[in-house]
Amino acid sequence: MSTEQTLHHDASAESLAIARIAVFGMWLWNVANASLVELGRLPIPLLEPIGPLRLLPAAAWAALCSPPTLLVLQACLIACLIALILGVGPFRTIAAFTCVLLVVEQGMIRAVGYMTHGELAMLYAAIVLAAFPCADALALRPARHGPRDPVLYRAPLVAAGLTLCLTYALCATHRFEAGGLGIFLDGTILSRVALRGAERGGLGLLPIDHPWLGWIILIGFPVSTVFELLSPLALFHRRFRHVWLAVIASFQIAVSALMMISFRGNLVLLAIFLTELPQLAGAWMAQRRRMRMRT
Amino acid sequence: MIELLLCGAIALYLVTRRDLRELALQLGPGHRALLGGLVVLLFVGHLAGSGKHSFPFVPWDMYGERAQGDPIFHRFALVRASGRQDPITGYGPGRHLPTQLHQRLQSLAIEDAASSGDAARAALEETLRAVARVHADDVPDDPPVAIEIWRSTIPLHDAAHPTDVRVEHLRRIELP
Repeated sequence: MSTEQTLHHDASAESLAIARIAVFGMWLWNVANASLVELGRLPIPLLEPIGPLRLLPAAAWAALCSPPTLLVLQACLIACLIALILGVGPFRTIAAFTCVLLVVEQGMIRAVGYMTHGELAMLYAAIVLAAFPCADALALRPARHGPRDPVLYRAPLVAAGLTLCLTYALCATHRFEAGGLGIFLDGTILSRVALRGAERGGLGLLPIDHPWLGWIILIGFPVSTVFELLSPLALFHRRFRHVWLAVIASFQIAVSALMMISFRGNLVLLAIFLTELPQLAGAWMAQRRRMRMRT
Repeated sequence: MIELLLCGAIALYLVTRRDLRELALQLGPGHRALLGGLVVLLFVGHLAGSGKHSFPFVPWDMYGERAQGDPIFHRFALVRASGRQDPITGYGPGRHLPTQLHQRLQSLAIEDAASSGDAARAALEETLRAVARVHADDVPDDPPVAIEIWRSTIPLHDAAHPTDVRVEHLRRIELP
């Protein structure tokens, strides 16, 4: 058992508030830029309900797929997300309602029949935050309450970090099952990188033209997969976490450049939930507040 | 089988972490149930099915399949009455599709290329026609009249010219 201090051991109301602003801020950017209304202009037979949306009766599904309803959904989400970022209104009620709307919105986006994973880690983080007192600090109207148990600030940061780590680890378990060891030896990764790079205008053909770069990718693929598999360890072991962050962040930046797959959201989630940045920022804010009060 | 074993090992690791257990025990039963349930659903969604039923808990199956043959992708363009061609894509400066729809078109086109039946072709053409209808009014007085499809092949197995992408015009779909 590790004796080192665990991640987020000194989390405060400020550090959880920073996580709130980061996560719901990314969601605001994401929702504001979504082509939801365009999906509503597609014929309904091309859209297949997924997850909880499958429970809707046909008439309700048809109503949901119409551009006016999707516009209302988008507007509601934007209003709720702004309220959550600013910290106005009853946080948990608005946050829970927002998470329901986000599941609907993300389900709609995937109703065209292609499952992407881009925003899901962010969705799990939002669900975790929605259940905890994230608006006790850095809020226009902070929640009124007596002293809180510090575990209520620490647990959501650890839990969101855990769900993020699990998304990496589960990805690696599937790769070992579906691709076996052969996937690391047969140049599959170079083929995927070239395909996405050529299709989307990334630098994916460079490793074919420059074999030294190709070798880095060929070696990096199994290395990053092993690190993905070991992701849960990063939550509990500080030294391993530093190496893990360096490997995973480099891997994601390389994938962004070569394959034009954006990992901005994941990089922000890593900074918030797998580093002590929220605590450092929270401590800095508290220190500034004390200095201001003294003067 | 190996996936199940690895998932079991990860779950066992988490369950046996004393610090994690102590943290959970400091929480109320509601918080414990929510966080525990979330983790369980992540595993269940990953191991069960395609995610269509369990969304937002889905299989994390990116880049798990081995590549076979030269990589292939497709390009689509909306041809307007004036002869102007607008790319139908979810990426780059000409982007006007949600990325999920772009990926759906790519997978339908691959299915079409791989199958000898008409069902995959019909599904691809129906989706492309629907996209054309959505974008019919994007350019005033210049309605779409057809859709062009090209197939691009990256000849990775051609040792001499592995990055000379070969582009082949597949067909033109006339719009009513």
